[in-house]
Amino acid sequence: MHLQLSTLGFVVLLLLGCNRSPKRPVTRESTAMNSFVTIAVYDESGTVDQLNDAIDSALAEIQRIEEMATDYNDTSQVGRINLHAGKDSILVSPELIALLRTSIAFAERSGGAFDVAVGPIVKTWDFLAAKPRVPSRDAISRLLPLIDYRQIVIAGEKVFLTHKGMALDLGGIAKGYAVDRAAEILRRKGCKQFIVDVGGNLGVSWEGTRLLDSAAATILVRHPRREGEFFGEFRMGTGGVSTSGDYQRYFIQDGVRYHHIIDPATGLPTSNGVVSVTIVAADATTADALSTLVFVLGREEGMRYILSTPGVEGLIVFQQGDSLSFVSSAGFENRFSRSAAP
Amino acid sequence: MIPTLTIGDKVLLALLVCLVAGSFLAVGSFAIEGNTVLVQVDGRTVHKASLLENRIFPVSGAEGALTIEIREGRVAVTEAKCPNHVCIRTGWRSRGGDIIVCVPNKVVVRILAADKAGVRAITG
Repeated sequence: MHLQLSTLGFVVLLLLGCNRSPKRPVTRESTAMNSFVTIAVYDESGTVDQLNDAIDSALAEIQRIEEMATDYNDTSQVGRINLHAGKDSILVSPELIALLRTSIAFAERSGGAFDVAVGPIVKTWDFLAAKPRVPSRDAISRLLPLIDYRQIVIAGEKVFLTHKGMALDLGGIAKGYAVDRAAEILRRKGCKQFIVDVGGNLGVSWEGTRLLDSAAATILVRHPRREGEFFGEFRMGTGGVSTSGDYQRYFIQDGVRYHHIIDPATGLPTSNGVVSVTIVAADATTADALSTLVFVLGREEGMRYILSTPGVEGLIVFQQGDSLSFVSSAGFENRFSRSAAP
Repeated sequence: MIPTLTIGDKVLLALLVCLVAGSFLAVGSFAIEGNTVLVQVDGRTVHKASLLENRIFPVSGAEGALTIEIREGRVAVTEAKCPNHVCIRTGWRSRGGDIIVCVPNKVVVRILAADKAGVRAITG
């Protein structure tokens, strides 16, 4: 009887040990906004069917945002604004008006380092082409006067681009916005613990946690120069994350690396030594816009921007000689672990 | 001195042996997970292959065929009918959690992550 009880106790302990492994999330993957999309819901309440239904709605929401904000066709709201540049004002949804106003506010506060009127230059560089080429200096010079958020006129629910050839490009904010909208849908459907990932723009939602005050998830930051490796990791609670890096879309011509983060002031890939910026903010829209904006502002001015923005933390990785170095805001530093160098 | 085992003892010991053997099998399957390549088309899994076995196989994507090659513990999309060949330009991948995506073809090639501990996501 003594042996039976002790053996029983061991079996119970073993079973308890087995139960420590985390519950697998309900996860779905898709493609949208030229990106890989993953939604993982970790809720223990609700059936798998209910969680799948919530994820379906969230994926549909991301699709809806893409259809609103894409500039790859002339029929989306943004496409129609671009098509009628210099000619007519276009009636659009209050939602797009709000997103444009948010974008313009980022542009104003950064002195144009973030500019959704950058469309003509982005199209000229065409980083998604099969064989991208460096545009001529003449072509860039001709387009530069069109890159000016101050020439976006919003009146009521109508938008007018004042010059022919102007074009909006919401590539620096739309994915973050889509993450926030999808997260809102999941919350409305009762989900309390989830991660929405649109091309590395993350929305983490964990009931009872705030941005960095308590940990819900570990976020791995890709190494800007070593494929498949991570620069470091940090723990966070509910909030948005985005990273802009010169390694995400680029091509090499005549031995020079040309990346997709264009400085609106020059029309050229930003060249200030920064190689990647990771922003953590209360929402993914802010994180998305700020990761681009801070990249363009550069290491010092960019960090000043982060430090002067309430509720925002960030990491700036920059080239220093032959190696990489980084600076981060105090709130971020406390949560960040640099990966060990090989 | 070894006490005599009752039938109950023997049942519990047998259960224990099964659990321990099962736990070794489970650990084994987790260890191998980082070596598994999953190929999905429009969210549907169409191939599951070992990264340790060299092979070349075709996949029908939304826009046309792709060729996926597994060689020496790495995987790549080596041919694809898509406009910009981002999938091919992604090159060879070998680590758990790595993905290769062909957006026009709605194809995702993923190396299953070995580490299932905790909630993780990747930015960048």
